[in-house]
Amino acid sequence: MRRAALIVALVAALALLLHEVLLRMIAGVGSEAVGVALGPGTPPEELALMGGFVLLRTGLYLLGPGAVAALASTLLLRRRAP
Amino acid sequence: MALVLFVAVTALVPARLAGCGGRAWFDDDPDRQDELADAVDAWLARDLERAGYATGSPLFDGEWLFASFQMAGLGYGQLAASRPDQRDRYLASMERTIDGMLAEDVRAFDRERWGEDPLAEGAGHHAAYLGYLGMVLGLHRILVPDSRYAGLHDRLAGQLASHLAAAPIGLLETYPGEVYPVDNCAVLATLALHTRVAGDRHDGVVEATTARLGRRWIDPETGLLIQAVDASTGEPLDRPRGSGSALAAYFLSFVDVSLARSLAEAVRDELAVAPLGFGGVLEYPRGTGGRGDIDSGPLIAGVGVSPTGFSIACARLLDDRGWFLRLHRTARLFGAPRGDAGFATGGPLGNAIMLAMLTSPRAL
Repeated sequence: MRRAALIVALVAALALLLHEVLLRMIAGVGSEAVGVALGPGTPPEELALMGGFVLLRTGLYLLGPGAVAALASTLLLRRRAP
Repeated sequence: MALVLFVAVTALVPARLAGCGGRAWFDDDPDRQDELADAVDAWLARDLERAGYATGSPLFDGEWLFASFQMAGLGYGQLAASRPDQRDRYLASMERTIDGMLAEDVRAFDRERWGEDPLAEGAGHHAAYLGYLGMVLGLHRILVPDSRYAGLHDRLAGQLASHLAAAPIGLLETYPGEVYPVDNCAVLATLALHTRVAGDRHDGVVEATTARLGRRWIDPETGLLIQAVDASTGEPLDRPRGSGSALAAYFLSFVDVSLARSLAEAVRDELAVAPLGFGGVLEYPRGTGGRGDIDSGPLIAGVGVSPTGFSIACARLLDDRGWFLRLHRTARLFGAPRGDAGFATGGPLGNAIMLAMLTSPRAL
């Protein structure tokens, strides 16, 4: 039980850390590589980079809590094998 | 069990997480306002130039540069008006944006399109440049009656009023042969603010144009504003759309609050959606779909970046806390806010728009 709780806490912490890293990457790309604004004329590789980070962060934001909850229920509520 | 929990948590938790700070913004929390204003200050201090924008069109690059100063100016003006303790700070920032808008290189996009300087004596309509600039000048003059821009403000308002009185279709051109009702709402806001500070009623041109706008260019079925009209006949060239309607509601809040509110209600009732508790606003009325463009920004399932962002002002105008909170969650989700660095994905224009919308008047 304690081990399962530790794993869940670790996964949640990693998700938060990843979120912070992605936020920094988005801010970095947004302020440096792209210049001052994103638009249809942004070079495709920069747009893809920014889009990728935003997509990852959005996915993590939307699906992360549910995934952590599902993991917790799987590990913590799992019946011990006889 | 795990699947049920996943679905339940996904349906409930992300929206709550993204909701952090929404209530504080709705209640005009000064710390949040100062933080975002700092971020906008930092962007505008970067010696912005047209080439730094990436719209793919020199005209739109110029418009975005100009709009970065204009929206920031409105945001600072609203803060200076609502926060007497910070009045001097925000007035100084506001004056920097006015000087920015007046700069030769910032007004170049309009000059190139018209073939004449918008600030020249006897210049043509220049509805967007002069209308948007005039709003900030008007707000500034309300705060500083002996504003150093008063002479320019009087001249510009007089010029817009006489053009409007003589305009064959009753609306001014943004560029030669191009008429956008939303830009004319900025012209009306300029004239209304000028009346408030200078007393000049401009021979009733504001009242006449506002009434005509309601009769002719607000779609009777949806209550939304037509996006573009023919410069010689006034016939619609585009459909009623979310981006123009939401921005026009904000502009008209300085002119005619009841018309502004009815437009804001139409945006909410016809275009608002809220998947998973995140508020979005469609660019086109339901069932009529269309493509994204420079006005709407990219569309995701019909939801546009611009209509969603501008609708924050509509929610404040309607004093609709629930809608505001849903829209704010979306802004946080996609804008990736980072304290006093502002919205990471917004750039100067996105952050300036957010400052203007999040501090927009709840009622005037």
